[in-house]
Amino acid sequence: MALEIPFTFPLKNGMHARPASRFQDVAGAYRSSITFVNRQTGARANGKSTLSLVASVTRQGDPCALIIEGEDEEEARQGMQRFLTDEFPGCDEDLVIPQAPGSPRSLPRALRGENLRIERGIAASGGIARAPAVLLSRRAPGPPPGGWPKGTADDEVARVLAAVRDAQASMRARMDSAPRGVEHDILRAHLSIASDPEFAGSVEETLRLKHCSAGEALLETARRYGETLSASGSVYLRERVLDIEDVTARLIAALYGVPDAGAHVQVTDDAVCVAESLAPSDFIALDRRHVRALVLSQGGVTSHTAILARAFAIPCVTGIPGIHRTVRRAEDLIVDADRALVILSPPERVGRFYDRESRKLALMRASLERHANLPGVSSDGKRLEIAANAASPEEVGAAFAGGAEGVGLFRTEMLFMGKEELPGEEEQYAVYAEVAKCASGRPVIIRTFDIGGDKPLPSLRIPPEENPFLGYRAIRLYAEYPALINAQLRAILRASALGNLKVMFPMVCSLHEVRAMKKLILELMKDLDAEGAAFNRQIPVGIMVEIPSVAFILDQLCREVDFFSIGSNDLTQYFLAVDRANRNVASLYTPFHPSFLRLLKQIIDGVHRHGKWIGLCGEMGGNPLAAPLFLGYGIDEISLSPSLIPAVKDVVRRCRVPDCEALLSSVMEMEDPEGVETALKDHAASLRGSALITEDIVRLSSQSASKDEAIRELVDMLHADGRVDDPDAVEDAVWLREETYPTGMGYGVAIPHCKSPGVTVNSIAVLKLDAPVFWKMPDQDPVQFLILITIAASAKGDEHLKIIAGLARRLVHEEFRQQLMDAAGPGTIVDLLEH
Amino acid sequence: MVGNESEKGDAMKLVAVTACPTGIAHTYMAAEQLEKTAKKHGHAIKVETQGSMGIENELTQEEIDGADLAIFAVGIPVRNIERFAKIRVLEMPVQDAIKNPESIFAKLG
Repeated sequence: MALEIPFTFPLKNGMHARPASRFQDVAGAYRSSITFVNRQTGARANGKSTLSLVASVTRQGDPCALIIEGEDEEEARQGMQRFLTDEFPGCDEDLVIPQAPGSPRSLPRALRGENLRIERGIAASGGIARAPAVLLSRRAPGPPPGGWPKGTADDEVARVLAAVRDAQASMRARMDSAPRGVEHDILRAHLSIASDPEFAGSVEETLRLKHCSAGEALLETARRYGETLSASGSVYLRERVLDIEDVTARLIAALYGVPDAGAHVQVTDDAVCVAESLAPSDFIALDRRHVRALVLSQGGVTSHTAILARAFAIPCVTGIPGIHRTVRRAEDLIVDADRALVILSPPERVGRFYDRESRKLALMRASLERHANLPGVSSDGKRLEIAANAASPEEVGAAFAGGAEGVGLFRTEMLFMGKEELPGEEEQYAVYAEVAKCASGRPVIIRTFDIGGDKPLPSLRIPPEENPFLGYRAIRLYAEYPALINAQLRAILRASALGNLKVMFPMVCSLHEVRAMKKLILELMKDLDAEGAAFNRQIPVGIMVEIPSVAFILDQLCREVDFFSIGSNDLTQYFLAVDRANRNVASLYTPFHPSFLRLLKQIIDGVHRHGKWIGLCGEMGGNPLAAPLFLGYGIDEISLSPSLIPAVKDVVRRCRVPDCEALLSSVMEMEDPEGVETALKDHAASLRGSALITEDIVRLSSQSASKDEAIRELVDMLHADGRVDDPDAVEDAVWLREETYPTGMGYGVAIPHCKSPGVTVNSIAVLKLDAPVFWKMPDQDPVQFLILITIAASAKGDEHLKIIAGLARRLVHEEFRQQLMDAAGPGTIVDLLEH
Repeated sequence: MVGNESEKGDAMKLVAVTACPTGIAHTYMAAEQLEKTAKKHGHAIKVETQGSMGIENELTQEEIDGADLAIFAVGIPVRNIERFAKIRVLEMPVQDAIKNPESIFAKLG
């Protein structure tokens, strides 16, 4: 009798190639037939076929069911049920979709005016680039010269199957050479289309029914799937048509020996590639070193080509109908994907604008990076180690390059997830050894596997639990799986010979768990000694602080362990009894609850009283608002997502410890999290601009050759210094003011000014031009010395306004203007204007 | 203290209002310029600024009524203008007060 599992379709982007291929993998392990039924649309799909699943055109929220029938149906039902609850909802990675194309933003001043050829589209991957155009034509696969050769139906079927096998082999080879990540995943999705039993079945059926050639049958099948997907209501599914066409084109190329479409494309010099649309495999085939940008007339931001462009940080603008016909071969193009536009044959002044724009952005990036590599230390010299959370050697390498001072949490679950066979000691050793080498002496905390709870592992066959977060997970599993934990600890110990590794156990709630693990480590060390293997006998052993009980036995635990790391996510939800994934109570989940802040204080002080080291590795660590609290606590380290390191370090380096201590004491006395957050925001604002002017926004030599350029340069100086976050809006506000009447005040001085929401920090910027420019009308009022005053729209408090009013009054006096004009350096200007 | 109006060049008692669209700079520059130039010519002046910090150095009805002349150096309408119903007003764009204050005082005679 058939078994049925009803469920609601959970994935935001519908049933697309990636989750479908994982579904196929899991369903394929059972002998029973597994049919996927979409009760909303009535579509039925073979659960062991990616294509058939994708073609079911299922969207989030659709009522669905699996119907399972066959000899192992009970086992299959349990397995599929587990898959559907535990793994499938996580199969859909969030699509990072750049800003939706809402109302087109107004262009910066330099891009207005006549005779500019600007095409606006949708940004699929940000950035700015300029290069000559290379036009890529995508040929629809068609018959080879001389028409489709045709054999008997059996011959043709055999040819198709052989071509599929070849294509699979070549895709596998490319997957092996492709680095892990998006490219790898996309090849995998294509491989699953090529391996799809429904696809091959459908081709064979067409061949036998229509007595046509293999090529025609392939095209016919692709067309049918394409139609189904194109008719779907989901943009994401419509964009998958390209994937199927891509695979079909490759199979036809292989069958008839015609070269792959992508092989025609040669980009040997820097170029902006322009095409009607571009198949992912064509994109992969391009020499990416020379692809400065991508411009497409069709295709959305979720196509695999767009995803690849983002993965490789190549600017990409799509959705400009007909652009592949408008652009001439080798035409000079500027692609400004940040503003979602392309400029054809830009005139010189636009070129100058973008030269400056690119230079500014490069500077801003460099300053963030320079910043990122400074040590984590407060402005008054208190050390706070800023480490990274990571899960692979690649991430560890990138984290150190991005300013991490250690790895505060190396998660090992990923080594276990999504694998048919669990990793053995050698595989793990290779990873940990690589990590230790990457770290070159800097500390790395490796956490033993935390499986169960929100990270189930199908191969361990842990029965589904009512309440997995309070259940069988992490260290609680180790006794049942000695082989797994032994292999992991042996791998960590051996790798400890190569670097500064520490080992940390998750989900510890009592002393005996720690003792059991320490005993195990000693036994494993004995074995390694006997084998003559090298390891660090003094490897520090620590535990996660996630379960509140730990806070009350710190004295006992400090006798057994060397260090602690607070897992703030789990600790928050266990302490406040809030499941953050439960929408009804998620608003109660916050690490800024005064009770939680007091708990942290108790834990950190408790550990330090016993002379031990303590860090924190939850999401709270990556919140720049919380950084002053950590200095207040005096915690030894925080470990965060690598991308957040520059911002958090920036805050830490601005803070003073006595201020942080006072802030912490005051927020612990507050009555609700909202009050805490407001206090933290106020503190953050006070760290930013207290100074109206610094030497960084005074420039005494400029080649700006017009009023337009000079004003833009001043606004850009403020943007680069983090004082303006929307330079185009601020530029507009300044010009609006100029149009009321120009701000030239005679004597070669002008004081453009504005109040705008694009201003984050009230500022006074100064620019002295090498040659004067006309301010009002030609031949009138040449200006050489500019003082730009920008006020935030939300500016409260009159302190800055008073200073500016005072400055305005002083500018009326000639002696003062003369002092400014004669100033020898930016320092003198700052002194003159500041007081 | 009231100057003798009949004699050209004699000290006068003046009140003024300065205001500009953003209220950030020109309001204050004009105020400074008027104060500076009035002083040079020996006139007494009190300048009310209507700028980004609101109304400052506010003129009382008494002060206005006791003055010989009011100067408006403004780019936007003057607030509380009813106070000036009974006094002669000399009005000009705010930038004129900044650039050519002398020409204002030349007219006073």
